[in-house]
Amino acid sequence: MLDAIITAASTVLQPENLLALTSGVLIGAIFSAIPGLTSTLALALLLPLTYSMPADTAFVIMIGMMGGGLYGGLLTATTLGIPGAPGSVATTFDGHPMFRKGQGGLAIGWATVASIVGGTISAILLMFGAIQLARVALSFGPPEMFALTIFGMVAVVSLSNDLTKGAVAGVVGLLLGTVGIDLLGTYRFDYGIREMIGGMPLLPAVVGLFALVKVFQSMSNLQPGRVTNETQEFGDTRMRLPPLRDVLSKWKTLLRGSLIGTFIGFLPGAGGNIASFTAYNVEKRFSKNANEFGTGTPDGIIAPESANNATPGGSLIPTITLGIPGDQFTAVMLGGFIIHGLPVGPLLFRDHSDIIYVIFATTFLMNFLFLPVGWFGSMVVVPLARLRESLLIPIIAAFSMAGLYSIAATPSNISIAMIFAVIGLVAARLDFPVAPLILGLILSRLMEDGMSQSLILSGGDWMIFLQRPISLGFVVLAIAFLTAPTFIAWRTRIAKAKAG
Amino acid sequence: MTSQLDRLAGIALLAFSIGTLYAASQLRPAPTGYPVGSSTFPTILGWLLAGLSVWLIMRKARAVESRSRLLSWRAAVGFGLTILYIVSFRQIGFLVCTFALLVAYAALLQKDRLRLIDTALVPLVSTLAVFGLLRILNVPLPRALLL
Repeated sequence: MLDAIITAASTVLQPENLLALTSGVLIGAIFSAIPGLTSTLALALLLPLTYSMPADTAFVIMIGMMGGGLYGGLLTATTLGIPGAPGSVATTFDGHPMFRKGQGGLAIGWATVASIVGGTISAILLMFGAIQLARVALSFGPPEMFALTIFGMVAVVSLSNDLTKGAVAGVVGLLLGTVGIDLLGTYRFDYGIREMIGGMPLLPAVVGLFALVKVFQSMSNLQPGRVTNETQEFGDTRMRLPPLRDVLSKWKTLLRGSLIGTFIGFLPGAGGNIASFTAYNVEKRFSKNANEFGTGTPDGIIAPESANNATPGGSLIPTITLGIPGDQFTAVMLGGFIIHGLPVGPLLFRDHSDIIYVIFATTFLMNFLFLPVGWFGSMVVVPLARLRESLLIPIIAAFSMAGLYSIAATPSNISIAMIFAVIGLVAARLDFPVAPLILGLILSRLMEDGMSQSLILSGGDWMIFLQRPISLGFVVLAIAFLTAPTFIAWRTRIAKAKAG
Repeated sequence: MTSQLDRLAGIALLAFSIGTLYAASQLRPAPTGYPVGSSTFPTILGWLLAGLSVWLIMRKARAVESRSRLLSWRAAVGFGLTILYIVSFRQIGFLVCTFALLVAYAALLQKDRLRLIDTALVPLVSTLAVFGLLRILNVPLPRALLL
């Protein structure tokens, strides 16, 4: 097997394939860095062009776009506080505060290292454990998916400063996620808007809650000549890698994030969005400096980015072994297999193992291209963040509007984004967190499908969620996460009372 | 004392949850032999939100950090112009409308004096850049009065 991987690596390193890989990573990163555009859109547009390419080159460019798409979002998330892609939302929590402290280059450096480590670990797991991991994925039924989504939701809500407001935001997100056609084929709450029939679109929500809110908040809090970020006096303009000693000291955070990303990646329907949120929350629980999260701590960047970039290995596992896409990107990528006349599933392993190993090798090698992409990307994006608001905001608005329009070639997605901008402005005014709202929107469909299918299986018996070990484990974890802040506060009060 | 704004938010959310429960009750009930229907999940969420809203209204006061402003007149104008943009760019055209919106944004973001580079040049370059991007992506733009 190792020989086959080395042969495949030498194929990937041939000049034409290396050029294809670099182009793929760059295209993916650019599309991912612009709010409203996604690497999935880029793949959908470029997929027909791969028809004339040899199969190995086509898959090299597709995998490159996948990796670049997961990586690029961190650039704008860190520098502007606007996630280029939904998977980078959690990176804004500490990446942007670190940038505002004048350590933007270092923040991008940490995120890049985490992306490389996460991607590499997940690629290794993909190479040596694809079949075994696919079996684990198959053991994940509806009760486990439901329990996982409950755990993810509770974990994010429990991080809120105000638990009630966090829970409200999460429930509102889940409710907004019920819009559109459901499992039984009923049209719900779409009010005839075509774009909402398939469900509340996520991208307009992210653009509305982050990019458009920034546009209107800048107009509201206008100060003459103010720059977007108060970092003009700092010299940290380019990606700065952290010292190796510091990286090694973070091995636990890197490993946890990478394993969470790989694990969540191979669950059909889940993806980088859920992985990055979960990793951030788990890391905050494990951290001795939990109170530093949200103020610009490297751990708050490493965890979500390593998890986000570890998802390709995971999401490729069910795609190539079972033909079940792990996320939107791999769903479009299945079209690539059809274009090149390749079967997916066991037949691919038996008849086209050369392509399998090219995919494995590319998934591994693409991670190292994040270094130059991050270097050049920071040179473009960091100076943007130093522009006057009157210069930067119209640029953000222009690309956001274009990105939203390009989704369906209609202005309705801009309208949806405007509704979310209103929600975001009201939430900011009333101190409601938006992270649970976004996660609620992402998880709603998975949660409802898991709940409905489980209850159909059990004949309406809710105990099904406690009778299976994996789902029981997630339920116990969810309860622990929900009660931990209250328990810690109670113990602190007792300790203070004793001392005072 | 509970913050007045939180109490108002709680009342608005309670109204929203009641609306949700009503809308959910209008959905198709569970098919015969099925324990769940289209209304099950929204109904559970509606009740959960109603409970949280009541708690938000009733609970004790909490220390509130500095609150951001909702909208100044500038942001309200920007918001209104964006709605106008959405409504009109199919009729007037993408290039003209986008350029006009960006000029307005840039003007609304300047207080003392309007700089030519901010108000005209950057909106023009940004508009042309996104126009080029949409053409490269083969995204169909509306055939309108002015481009």
